[in-house]
Amino acid sequence: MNGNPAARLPARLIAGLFGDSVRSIITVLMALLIIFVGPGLLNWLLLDATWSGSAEDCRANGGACWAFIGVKLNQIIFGAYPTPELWRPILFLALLVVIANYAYQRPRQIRNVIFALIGAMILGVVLMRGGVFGMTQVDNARWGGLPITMIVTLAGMGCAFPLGVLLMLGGASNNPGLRIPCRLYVDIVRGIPAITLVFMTFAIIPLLMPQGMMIDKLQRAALGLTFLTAAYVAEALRGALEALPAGQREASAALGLGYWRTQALIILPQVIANSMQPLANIAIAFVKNTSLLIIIGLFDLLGAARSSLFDGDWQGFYRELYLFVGFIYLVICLFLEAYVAKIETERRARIYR
Amino acid sequence: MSYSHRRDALRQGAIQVFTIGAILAMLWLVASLVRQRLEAMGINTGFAFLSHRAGYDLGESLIPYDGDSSYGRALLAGFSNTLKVALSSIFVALALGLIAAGAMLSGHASANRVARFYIRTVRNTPLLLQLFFWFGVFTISLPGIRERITLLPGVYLSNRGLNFPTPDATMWAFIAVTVVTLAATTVAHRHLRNRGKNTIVLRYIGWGVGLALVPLAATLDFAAFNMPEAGRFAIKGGGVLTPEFMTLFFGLSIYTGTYIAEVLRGAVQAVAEGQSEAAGALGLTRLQSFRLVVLPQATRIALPSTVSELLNLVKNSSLGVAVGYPDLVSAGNTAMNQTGQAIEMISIYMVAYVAINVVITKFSKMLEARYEW
Repeated sequence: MNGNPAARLPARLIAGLFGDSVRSIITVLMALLIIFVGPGLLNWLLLDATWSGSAEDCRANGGACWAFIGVKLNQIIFGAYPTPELWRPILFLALLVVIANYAYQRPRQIRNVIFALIGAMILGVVLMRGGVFGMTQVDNARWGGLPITMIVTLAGMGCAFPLGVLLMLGGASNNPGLRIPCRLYVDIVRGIPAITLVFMTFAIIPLLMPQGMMIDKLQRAALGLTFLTAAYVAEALRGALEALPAGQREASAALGLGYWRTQALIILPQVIANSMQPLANIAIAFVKNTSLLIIIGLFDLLGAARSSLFDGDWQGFYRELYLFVGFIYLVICLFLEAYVAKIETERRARIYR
Repeated sequence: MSYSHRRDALRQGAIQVFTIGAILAMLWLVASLVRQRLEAMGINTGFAFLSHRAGYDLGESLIPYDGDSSYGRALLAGFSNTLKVALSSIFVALALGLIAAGAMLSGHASANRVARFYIRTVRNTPLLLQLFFWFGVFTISLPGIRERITLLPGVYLSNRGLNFPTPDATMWAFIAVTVVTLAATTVAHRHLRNRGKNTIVLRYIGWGVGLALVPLAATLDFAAFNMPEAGRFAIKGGGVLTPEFMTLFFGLSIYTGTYIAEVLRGAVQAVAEGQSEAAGALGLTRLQSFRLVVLPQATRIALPSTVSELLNLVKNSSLGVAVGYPDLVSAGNTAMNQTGQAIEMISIYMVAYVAINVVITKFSKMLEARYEW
């Protein structure tokens, strides 16, 4: 198809663009796309864009209003968090960036990364809440934006993973009293929309708490996402479990290992290693699902960003806002994708050396 | 059975009885706790509320509904809206997925790049964010009724949605007659041909009816349509796709299209290279080998994952609640807030979505059986 490598570049280019009828049609369509969409998009995004100034400047220039993002940046990323205390969420986010960098540099140190993330999460909650070490207390009704998205993701994934492992083990158990409820849970939860589960924890958990005790909105919402994600984790792990050769279990029984030691030392390490890809997809889905918190009135990244649109002076710049926020989600999710891809290549290199 | 085996069996039986007992006890504890609490809060239990007056409006509904209808009817109306948006988005999502997968498999570098850009960006941002974006497009960016965009005569696009003419009763009758005649002759034709019968007479009848319909269609003019009339504040008459519907329709189709594209691409690539090489050796052209050898096998591979993506689309349509589209969850949440009967409401959601799941899965099993080799 690409022809003789010795052929001159223009000849190869022409073959690549107009080699046969299908190719030619695609090329023409692409050219039309570029001609009709390209200039308008470029003008709007960059050439006519307003980078600083007021809403009036933006309306006069006609292009994208990036000035809006600049003015509202604090609100978009940190929600209603008090401005003098902003160093706290910033420190938390910086810590996460450092951990992410470490993780990507050393794809084999997964355990260190997990411990670091747990530490970072606890530190993040302490930093955000305050009330100790002379920091003023900030009620979590005022938390918002990216830190909430990250805390909920870390706590939720951190709880959903062990819960998913237990569900998977229960679903694979010989004991029908354990197997049936576990499988039923996984199947039902995977069959209903995420948002209904969030509503459910939202409405039902308060009914189960002792009188006078309240779990706040944020914790309930995170719990809903956790229950949801645990089912998906269990399903992803079940796939890998079924692919595991029976000889593994038999060999471990022959060594005299009991049930828990077999699971912990033989089965789970292999199952988890073999389901890295689906687990990464679940983590990405979790990050995206945190945006559901907005529906029950919490200000995660998307919620905080959207609230900046309610400012009367700056109404109508939704495109710039959602492009910017979408870009933040994109960076987080693509990082997760790249990180897991790196772990996988590293592992392959180790196994098939 | 040796002694130790019998002891093991006994032990296992005891464990099983214990776990079942423990789970039942836990469920009973939770249920009684919830009941107690609900009684203390003065919230009713049971499904009697379904027949009570709902008292709220839904923006749109496929079945007759107003505020005086019952909660049950509100939920049914919401469910009809869920089906409407899910079914219409499924087709566009499949089409987008096909196009993107085709672009990635075409070997055309720039088409490949465009398709991958579409997939990566759309997949890695929350659907809710995309829905907000589309909601902005359909409510903020589109002009008001007075500056409405006329796409075709009678087809208007404005921030009130897409208005279009609908056929009136005579037109519907005409369409129904046409469709039924054509379908009947096609089926009869195929049936006879498969038995090796002569079908020439039937073909003449088909053509005759078809030709007779043309002058008939010419006598019907635009009066046979209910045309939308633009007033100062609203467009009346004809049909309308509301901005909320369009938001969800665009968002779901574009989002799910990326997942379907990946499934289809993977399926085609999973068909072993040897298959198309063998087809080439048999003298089939590239197009023939794709259509006759690769595609049937790829369809078989792609079916289960495609169906699960379509089920995700149906589930995701519940996000309509965030943009004010009155789907099942949206209609149900209002009922939940008014009556406080969260548990009943959520079990209704579960039954509804699990029912959709079962129907679609059955349908896909039937399709899979057709592609069995």
